[in-house]
Amino acid sequence: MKIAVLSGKGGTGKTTVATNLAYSLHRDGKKIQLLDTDAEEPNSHIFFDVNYTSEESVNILIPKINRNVCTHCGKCAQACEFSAISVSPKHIMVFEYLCHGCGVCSMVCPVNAISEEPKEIGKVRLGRTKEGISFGEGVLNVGEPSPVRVIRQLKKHIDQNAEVVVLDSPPGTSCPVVETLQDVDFAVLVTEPTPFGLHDLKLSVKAISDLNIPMGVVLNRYDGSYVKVEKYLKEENIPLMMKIPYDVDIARSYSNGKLFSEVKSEYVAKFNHLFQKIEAMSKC
Amino acid sequence: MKIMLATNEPSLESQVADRFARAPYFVIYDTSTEKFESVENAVDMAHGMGPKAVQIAIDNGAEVLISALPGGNAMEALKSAGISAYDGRGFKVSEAVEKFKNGELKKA
Repeated sequence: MKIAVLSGKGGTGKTTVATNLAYSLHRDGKKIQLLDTDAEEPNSHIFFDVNYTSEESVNILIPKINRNVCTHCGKCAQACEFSAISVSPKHIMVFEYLCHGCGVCSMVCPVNAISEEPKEIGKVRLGRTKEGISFGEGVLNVGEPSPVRVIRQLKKHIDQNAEVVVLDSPPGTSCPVVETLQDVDFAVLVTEPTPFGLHDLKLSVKAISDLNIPMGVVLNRYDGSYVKVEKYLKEENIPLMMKIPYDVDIARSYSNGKLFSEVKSEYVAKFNHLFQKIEAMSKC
Repeated sequence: MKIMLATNEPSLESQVADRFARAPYFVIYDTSTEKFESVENAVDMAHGMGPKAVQIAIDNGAEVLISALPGGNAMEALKSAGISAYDGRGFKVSEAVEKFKNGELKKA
């Protein structure tokens, strides 16, 4: 069972929910893997003591032009979907940061002037937390425009023996989130009771509906004052699966980089209850 | 010589657009025939529009570009292709061409 934890808005509590869910299920005796796919700012590891056991490079293949062979026919520039090659009668140049590494340029070149060479865009790190949770994260190199390949490579390390794989997704609804959502069984949307939370929740709901993945919502920092999120969920028939209250103890444990379900142990049962609901719903 | 201008409309009366690669049209003006053609610019990518617009200039044989200030990628591509870029902001296409001929436009 693969569960993605995501939200349209940043800072709603994706990592809080993903890490506490993984921890609580582990405490219940399940075999858990936690993958942090937020490769631009992976920070799930802060809540754990991770013993990293392996690290690998994530490379994309970028075109290398043999200028002695190139006839400046321009076929590569025409074929490139991302305008990563510019060809003029005298010169040819590659924009590495625009290149997505698809390789079509080398395929269409009629004189074999284009070879491909690897360029590192990030890393995948794997290990195990002190508690024994299998852990992995993607780390995008600073300045790289897209973490999609990093996420794809990280997801190749999904442990088929794990009972539950929790994916801590990046925020938003663009390519990195869509990559995270590929082949997951359930999407947990984390939101907060504010107009901003509601606005971005609607975007996420649209994205997940398009991908046809069952979903439910966790409402974080709940204090009962802003009810429009609940109203919206009722209207759209989206299950509200858990409310995490606006609670100074929870905020304090977060600020100290601690899992709040470790400090407030009643939450271990609450997160396991959340999982039972997810299990029931993903089978529908 | 051919000059490419980034414009709001496909005419000589149009203003030079205030953006280069995301301008709605490109006007390609031939100084020897005093005629022009126009290309509608399909703005369809989040990234890479600069090199894409420069490729339009290259493919149409332009030696000069008149537009707003091109971005970093576009400037590199222009330089590599040997196309000189001039700042045409605030002028109509016809005015910008005249000013270029008189050497009154600033290099971008």
